[in-house]
Amino acid sequence: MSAVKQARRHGRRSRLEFASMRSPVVLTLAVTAAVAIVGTARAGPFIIVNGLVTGAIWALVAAGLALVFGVMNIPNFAQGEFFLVGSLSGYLVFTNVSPRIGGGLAWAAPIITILVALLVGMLVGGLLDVVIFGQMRRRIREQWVMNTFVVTVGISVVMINGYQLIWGTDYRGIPAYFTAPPIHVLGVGIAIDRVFALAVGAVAISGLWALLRFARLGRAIRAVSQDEAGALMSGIDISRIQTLTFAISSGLAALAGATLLFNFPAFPYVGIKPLYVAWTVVILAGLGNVGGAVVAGFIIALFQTSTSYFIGSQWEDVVPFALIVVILALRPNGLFGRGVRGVWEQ
Amino acid sequence: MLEVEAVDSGYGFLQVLHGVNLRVEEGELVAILGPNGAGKSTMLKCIAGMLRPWRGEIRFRNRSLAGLKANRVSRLGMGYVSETLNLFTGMSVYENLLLGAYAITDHEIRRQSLDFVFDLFPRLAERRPQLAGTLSGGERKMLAIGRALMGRPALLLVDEPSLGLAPLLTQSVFAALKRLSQDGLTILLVEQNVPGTLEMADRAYVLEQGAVVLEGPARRLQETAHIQEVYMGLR
Ligand SMILES: Nc1ncnc2c1ncn2[C@@H]1O[C@H](COP(=O)(O)OP(=O)(O)OP(=O)(O)O)[C@@H](O)[C@H]1O
Ligand SMILES: [Mg+2]
Repeated sequence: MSAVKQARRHGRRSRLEFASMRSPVVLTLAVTAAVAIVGTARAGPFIIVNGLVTGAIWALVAAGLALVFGVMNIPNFAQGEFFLVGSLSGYLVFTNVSPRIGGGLAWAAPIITILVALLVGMLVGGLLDVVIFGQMRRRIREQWVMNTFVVTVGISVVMINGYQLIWGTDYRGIPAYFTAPPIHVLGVGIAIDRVFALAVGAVAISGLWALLRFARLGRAIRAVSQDEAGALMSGIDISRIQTLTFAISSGLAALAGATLLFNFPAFPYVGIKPLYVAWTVVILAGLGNVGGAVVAGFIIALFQTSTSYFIGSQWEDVVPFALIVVILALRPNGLFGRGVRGVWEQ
Repeated sequence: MLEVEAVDSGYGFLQVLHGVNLRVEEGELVAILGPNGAGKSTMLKCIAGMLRPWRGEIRFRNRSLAGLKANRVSRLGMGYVSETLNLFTGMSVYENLLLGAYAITDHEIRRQSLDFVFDLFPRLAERRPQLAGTLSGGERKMLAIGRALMGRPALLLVDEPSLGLAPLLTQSVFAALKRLSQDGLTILLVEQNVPGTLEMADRAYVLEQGAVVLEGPARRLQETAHIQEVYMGLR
């Protein structure tokens, strides 16, 4: 009896999924494509180029958020401050390294800079996880999502004020990483810094994807996100995996901060915009969905660039937000999301 | 191989186990029987390190498990198939099995275990790329047992493999456990299917309300009046 019933229930559920869930996804992708095509036709390819550059970077910050939510069930509102860690380390490293290596090796300075920023971000993130979330994991089980949310907001406040105390409120930025003239693609000049940012985004996202898909560590990260008890039984030290996950996520945000240093100079509140854009992206994609966050990062960026060109830059964040309200009304779990679960309910 | 001494345990303020003693010798197939809510699963969780004993001691291969987390216990050679299976539902059968061998870094050993599991459960070989979440109930049981075997355990804990399975599938899962036992694997099995379990077990413990009320060789327990009345519906 139950087999038949189950089959029937299953059939109904999958039809329902198809009817109510797929169409908004298709619609959004179609609208995005339309915006890209129309925008390009009316304003030139830089809409797509700029959309890709910012999209790649938002995707990095957002992928980190999604990863931490998916694996640790922490809604991280301090992600912007890891972007700040990246901007600051980027600034300190680049302004010290760049004057020392000139000539033929000048191209190496930005690469060294972002690698150091990535490393510093991972270290700070890993340390923070050991000191704060590691302790919370051992003690608190109830209301985990809410508690960690409050804690991340606290971390954010402390980091912003700590930064202000030590480095003050000056802008610490650079005009550009590369002095070479822009390259021309389809008749549009694109600054080398933007090409660089796009390349960094692409490499980092592919790296993250390969790590999660093929590496032993990546498989363990997915295992912890899907079933913590199952991971324990298989001999996986879940606390260590969670520390590494948080470190990777913080590293990605710092990498983004350093890469965009030419556009976002280091100052106490530089992390706020990346934070809320990344959250928008993650909510659009569905919490905890890393692949979806990458796609949604590009969608949001494209909408931002075309809005700011056609309507005005003060509207840049309004249109994407409106889009999200509409999408969430149709699909409460986001474009690619499933239900949200607490860390102890898995 | 395993000694449990005077273990109390439970959840929050609720005490479930009251001074449980049991032991499993190398090569044995030992069963824990008992009604719903007796604390059988709680006992296995304690042994596997998923739940901390309040009092008493658990020793595995002459080593106290006090204070060890489940991942460390697993690496000592304890395979655990829980009641809920805890499969990685969003991953393929193959990836689930690979994760079972997470602690084993030797490629060759991992490949051998994989061959062994696929030989034991040919169904899993057929379903290799399929997501664990889309498997049938019986296939899930096989995958959970297979995943535990991938870690090359010295002792396998299995919690109610017959739960929710049709009689025919129960038989085939039991046959697999029997084969493992005959190959020399030590097994501690929790079951409610009393006749079938006593048929294949060497010894059994009967747990009622968190305490051992009866223990002995399976053959002898089959003859016991208490077992025949309460668990087999005879007499
Ligand atoms: N996670 C938990 N939190 C609180 N109480 C629990 C929990 N798990 C089990 N219990 C309680 O502990 C007691 C023993 O449960 P346990 O699962 O060990 O029984 P069992 O012998 O395995 O039963 P069954 O045959 O139904 O699986 C039950 O009263 C149950 O309600
Ligand atoms: Mg049970």
